[in-house]
Amino acid sequence: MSPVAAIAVIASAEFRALVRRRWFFITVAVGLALIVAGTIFAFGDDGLLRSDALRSWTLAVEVIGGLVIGAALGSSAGNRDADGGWLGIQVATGVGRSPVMLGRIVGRTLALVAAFAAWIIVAAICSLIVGNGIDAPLVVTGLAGIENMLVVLTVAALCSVAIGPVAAGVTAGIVYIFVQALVNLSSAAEANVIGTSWTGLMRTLYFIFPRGIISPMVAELQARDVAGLAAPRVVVNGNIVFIQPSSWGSVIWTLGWCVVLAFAAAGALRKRALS
Amino acid sequence: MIRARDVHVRYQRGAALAVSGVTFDLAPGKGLLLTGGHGSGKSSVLRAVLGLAGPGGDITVFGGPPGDPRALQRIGWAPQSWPFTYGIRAAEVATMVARLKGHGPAEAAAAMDEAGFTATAKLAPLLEIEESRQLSLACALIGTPDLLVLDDPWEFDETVAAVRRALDRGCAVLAASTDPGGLPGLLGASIQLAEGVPA
Repeated sequence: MSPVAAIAVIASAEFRALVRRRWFFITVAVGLALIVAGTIFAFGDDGLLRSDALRSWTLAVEVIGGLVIGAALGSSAGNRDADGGWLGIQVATGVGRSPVMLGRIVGRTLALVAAFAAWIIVAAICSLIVGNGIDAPLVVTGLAGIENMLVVLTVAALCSVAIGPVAAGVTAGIVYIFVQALVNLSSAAEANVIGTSWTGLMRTLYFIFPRGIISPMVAELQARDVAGLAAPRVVVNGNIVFIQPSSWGSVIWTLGWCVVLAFAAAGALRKRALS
Repeated sequence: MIRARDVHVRYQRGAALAVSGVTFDLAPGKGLLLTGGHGSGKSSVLRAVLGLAGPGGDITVFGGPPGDPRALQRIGWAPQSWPFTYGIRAAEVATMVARLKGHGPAEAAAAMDEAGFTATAKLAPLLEIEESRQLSLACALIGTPDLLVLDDPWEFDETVAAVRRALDRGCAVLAASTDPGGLPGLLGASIQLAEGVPA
């Protein structure tokens, strides 16, 4: 069997198993309920306020719910199933450890996309109901959220080969905060509101590491300070920093990082003892 | 088929050896049973043969190192207890193993039938222990392997019949059991382990 076919078979089995898990279902369902609740609250406002309410509410669901799902999916990629025997069953079929791990990450990515797809579709329907049309910027923000959480998922998957699920999830969460902070501080450097000694470091780190993906909608909400807790206005040294939407270069660079992290996880699994 | 000399397994650097000094040969059509109490190292020997646990010593399986993908394609592996991930259905387990070995759902169904497993629609981690043993055996039987590696196979009629058929067609069988029952007579040879070494 070719590695690609093996990846597809394992991804399919993992995806089906993951979406049946209770925590996954509950997290997605709670997110959907909150988006609907946000829609009901949005009816209390008119015009731009109504649009902002639904957008910020949906953004909060995608950031917080996405973090939970991304970290939880990734952090189980290489530890519990390795100790419990499931990874051993997959590896003992002779398809190779790397395709097994890549299949597991692809299956988890599909589950992440499924969760976001549910939220994006329901948010679009809610937007139609409140009279704002499909709200394409909100859809784009959901796609940006998938990429941000893919970073979380792949970091957690890499960590999961060596450490337990909780530690892997926490590490991935810290990396998420780090890459978001890099974007903020890089923008602060561009705006000359941090010391020159930090500017070079921030730019260097920004160019090296994966980048938090900021959609045009989030940048605009942040600029007006109406994005809510999920994307608060950035203030550095008393100066408001306007975060620019991510370029296509950042989108591709970060996707490339996700691929590198997935292959690193696949490589790391080669040394791990399996049950 | 399997040549193992002074097998030793250590799961983590600096940790004590889980197994040491195990030596055996296994030829086509022959069986070998590893016996011993819980934690005696039986499963570690099986994992070392499959390349799942980094082995020490000198092991060759089908002429190659343990874990070689081409050799693994010829091996049927039945792990112990409940090795299935949460959320997966029993039939999906067998189908996944069949597909990864280059077969289809028909071979998976035939193997489940041979193992006497019928609870195909159940979620695999929720199977009764007897059903879990049967599904594990079914995974091993898929695709008429040349070597069966069975960890804690329960002595069901279907298991005995499947092992007998495998031996008759020249398949080697390496098994481990805490409570071997009639398996020693079926497999012919056995090694007893105690605290990781041959007793």
